[in-house]
Amino acid sequence: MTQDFRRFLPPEAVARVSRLEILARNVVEGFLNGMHRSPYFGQSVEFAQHREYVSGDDLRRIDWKAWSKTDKYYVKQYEEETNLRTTLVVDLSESMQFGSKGKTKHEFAVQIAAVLSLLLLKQHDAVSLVTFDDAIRTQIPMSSKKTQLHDILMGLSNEQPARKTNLSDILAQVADQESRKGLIILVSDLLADREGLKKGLRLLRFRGHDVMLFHVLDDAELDFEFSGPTKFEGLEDSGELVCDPRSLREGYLAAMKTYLDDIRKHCAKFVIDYQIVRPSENLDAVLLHYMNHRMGMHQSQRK
Amino acid sequence: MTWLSSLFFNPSIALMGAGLIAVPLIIHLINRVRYRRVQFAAMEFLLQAEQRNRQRLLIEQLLLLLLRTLIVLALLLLIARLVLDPSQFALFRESRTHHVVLVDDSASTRERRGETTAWAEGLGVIRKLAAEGARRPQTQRLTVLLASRPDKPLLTDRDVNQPLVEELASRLDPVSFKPTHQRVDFLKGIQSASDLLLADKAGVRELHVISDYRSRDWNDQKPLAQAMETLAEADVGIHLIRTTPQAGPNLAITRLDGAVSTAAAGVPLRLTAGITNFGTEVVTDVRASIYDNGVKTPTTVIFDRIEPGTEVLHEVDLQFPSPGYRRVEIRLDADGYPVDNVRHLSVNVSAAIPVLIVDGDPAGDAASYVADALAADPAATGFQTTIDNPDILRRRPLDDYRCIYLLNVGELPPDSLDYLEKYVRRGGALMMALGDSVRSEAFNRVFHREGEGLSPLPLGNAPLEFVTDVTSSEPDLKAGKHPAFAILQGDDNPFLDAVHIQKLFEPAVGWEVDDIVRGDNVKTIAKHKSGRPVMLEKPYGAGKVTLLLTTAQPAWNDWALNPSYVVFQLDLLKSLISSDKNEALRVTGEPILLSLDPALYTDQVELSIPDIDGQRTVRLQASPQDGQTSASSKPRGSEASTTTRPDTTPASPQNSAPNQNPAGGIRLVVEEKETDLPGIYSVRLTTQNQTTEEKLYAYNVPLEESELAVIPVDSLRKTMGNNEKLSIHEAQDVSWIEGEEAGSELRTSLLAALVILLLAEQWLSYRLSYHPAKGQVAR
Repeated sequence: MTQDFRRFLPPEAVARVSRLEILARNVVEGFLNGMHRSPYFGQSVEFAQHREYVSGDDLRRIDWKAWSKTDKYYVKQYEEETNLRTTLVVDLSESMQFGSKGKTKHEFAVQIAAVLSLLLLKQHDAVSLVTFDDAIRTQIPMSSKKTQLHDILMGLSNEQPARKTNLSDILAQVADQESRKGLIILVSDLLADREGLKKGLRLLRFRGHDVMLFHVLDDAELDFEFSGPTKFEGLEDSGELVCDPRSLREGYLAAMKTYLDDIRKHCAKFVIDYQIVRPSENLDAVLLHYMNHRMGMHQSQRK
Repeated sequence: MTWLSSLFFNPSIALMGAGLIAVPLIIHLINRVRYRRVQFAAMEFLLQAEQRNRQRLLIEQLLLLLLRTLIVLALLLLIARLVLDPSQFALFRESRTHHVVLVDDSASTRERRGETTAWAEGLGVIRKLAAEGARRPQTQRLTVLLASRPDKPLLTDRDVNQPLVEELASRLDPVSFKPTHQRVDFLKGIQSASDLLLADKAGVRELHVISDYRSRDWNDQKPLAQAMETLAEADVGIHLIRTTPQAGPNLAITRLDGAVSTAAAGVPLRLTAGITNFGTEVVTDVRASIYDNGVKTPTTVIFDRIEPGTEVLHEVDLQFPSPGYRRVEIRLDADGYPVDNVRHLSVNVSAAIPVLIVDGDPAGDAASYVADALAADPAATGFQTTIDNPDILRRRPLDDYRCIYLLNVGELPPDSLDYLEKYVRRGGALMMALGDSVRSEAFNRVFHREGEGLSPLPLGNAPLEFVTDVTSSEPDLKAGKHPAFAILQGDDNPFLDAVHIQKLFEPAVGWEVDDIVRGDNVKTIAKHKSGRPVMLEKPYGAGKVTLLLTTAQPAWNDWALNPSYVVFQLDLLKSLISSDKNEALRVTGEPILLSLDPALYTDQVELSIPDIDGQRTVRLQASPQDGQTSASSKPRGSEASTTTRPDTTPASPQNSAPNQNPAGGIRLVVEEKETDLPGIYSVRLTTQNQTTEEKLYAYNVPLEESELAVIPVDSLRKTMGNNEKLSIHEAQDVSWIEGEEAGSELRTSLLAALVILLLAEQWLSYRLSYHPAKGQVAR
């Protein structure tokens, strides 16, 4: 079966997003030189400090100029720049199947994952993919190879939303599997056990991961602009209700706001990038906004 | 359905609409069943909201449902026209109803206001009634009476349906169907309507009185109020429909008369023209033109200023060169009510006016004094005197003379007395003066006859002689208010004060001097300073007798030597004559009744009567009188086939009878009732000698019809009493015919309630529904 990957990679989005660089918030481990700081200059190093030579140090790193002035052996130490290890965690539960304006949350989440994958791979960062519902369904190991994009897109297209969400276990598994610090990008509607979600996010942060959270919610879920007698049939066996939605809108929005505020506070508390995205918004605009926000945070940390 | 009919103006709508009350509930239930399905992810929050608001939502939904049900109910009540008081129901209900319309067709309905008249408005109301009634066929009946002839209905108990509406549209066109020029008797009309309604026991009965409601006809009319009350007690609905809101300004010619009976060729005839301002503002510089036989004369009467509600008189002298009938008119510029802007007068101009002077003393000179006073120059006064002895009374037909003077005649043979009495009874004028030939016993026996004779009083035994008191300044003669003294009265005219009376018959003992106490219609027109009567006047039949208790010549007094004597004699004669045969002045609607002596006249009578286009000729054939009842003429010829007007005034046997020698036996009578148009009516009789005699009658609109003041609604209601069955409407407002007034007070309340309900429903709906602010999104 031929997969049409281009539906996950809108050309205009790729063109605009690729001009930007994504910066890791913290220094993470990696074995490939990334393009960060000097991406197109080969072995680029940035001087950090001098240290006295000790036995076993590479003789090539002795600073002879310093020796001629001080008559002591110093070796130069450089700030090492490494690759960004990014794990894309995409929610494929049944609730992601909801969409009110021609595009489901699942489709939008996949698009986000695909765009980010391409962007990261073009920067020679390592990317892995985890899709899940009540368990991990697809797992693409971390790699920065050129074939990785294909593998990721294949992984994204394999699964259709069908089951419930179990974020707590999933995030714990991801944390366990990623022993090295990296960037965890979670794309989900977060319609799951709230405490489990918090626990999983907290765990990721404790493990030193930088976490970005794309909270995908549909316009109908955020604004609840239904009218007329409606029977709401809950996805993921969440019940059903016949009502006049206009009369319940106020209460619904209040409950939704409470929930979002709770998530937002939790993310702020653990320094997690949190962003609500709507499938009705342009994908490139969402990412552009997000990456500008990331860059601002990174630069402020460098200073 | 019956109880619905008693509560709703449109019971069928109420019945059909009753089901609509359940519509909000049905819609609500349908909505509960018919819903769209949405697969939704964020059920958690929805269920939370539903759980928290369940009770509130239930109450609000029920309240909203109740409000919507009440809105439908209020709408239904408004459309079906809830009427709590059944008496307010409109005219046309589902039940059978007999409508009797009495429409005022008096002359005053011709008053024009803007583009319409009271008459046209009234006809419009009838057409509207019929049109509304036709919407409920088989249930409504209509009778239309004209107030001028209520005994001859215009429509009698007709079913109101579309054909009738179409018929009325053509029959009641104000362009072709005009009101009368007469005054109408509303009491008679209401009684006729009452007879019709009270005889109709079935169904609902309604009386509609369409009139301009002039104050003169309706203010303080207790008989009318009683008739209305009787109808109301019989459960007849009464609707008084006013076709004129208020009276406009009106100038009317209310007088054109004079001593036309004494009109003679070449002698100036003094006429009095009067204009009354019936408006509320002063009118100045009013000019009236005078027409003689249709030709405008150079004479224009100018009234400088006429105060509101007053009549201003002007005298004008007209001179007619030749004898014969003259048609005199006085005209004003037409105003909003033109029928009283012209007044007609017929003048029979004689070559000379014959006066017979009978002197009882052949050697006396009384007759010559009188003759000199009356006709010293016949060309100047128009009188032609004949002096003779009493024997002439049996030799000549007395009707040849317009007035007879009986001077110093103490006794008459029975036949002469009989002729004389018949002459006076038919309208002749008699002037009696006493003298030495008069013996009281014989005079009283012949002329007084205990009040049955010609003399106004019985004479005392002998004349009373007065000694002239030269020291006294008090005049002997005290003139009363009488046309004969009209010129001589006043401080500026001392002639009468110079008259001295030396001898005077006094009344018989026991005869009451005071006219009011006596109460026998004899009027004292001049007195002696002692209080004794000098001159008296007595109506006798259609004529009049004047008795001078002294001599006509300067025997017992010196009056004949006084300049005032001539003036007095001329004015006395004019007043005597004008009181008898000046009957040609009539009001419209009064029939022309002729009683002909077949020995003198043929049965052919030709009338020339006014018409809209001028004059038209009607030929009638007189028929023998059937006992005491007069038979109506049978018109011959196409001109006479028009509608006749009712006989509103009793015909007088003496009225315009040209025969002066009634000898009993069969008489030919003819009656023309069609005298509605004002103008000059000409009657042409053919004698057995195949000569023709003509007589003119001037018909004018009744003066009362010029009083256009409209009775205010409050006064009308007060006059008619606070009767619940009686309602007063304006012709322009036909809402009561359509029943729009029924339940109007409730309608206002319902409308207010509906507005409140709608506002409450909108507020609650808004509260329960979602209305995002522009550009606002939830984050």
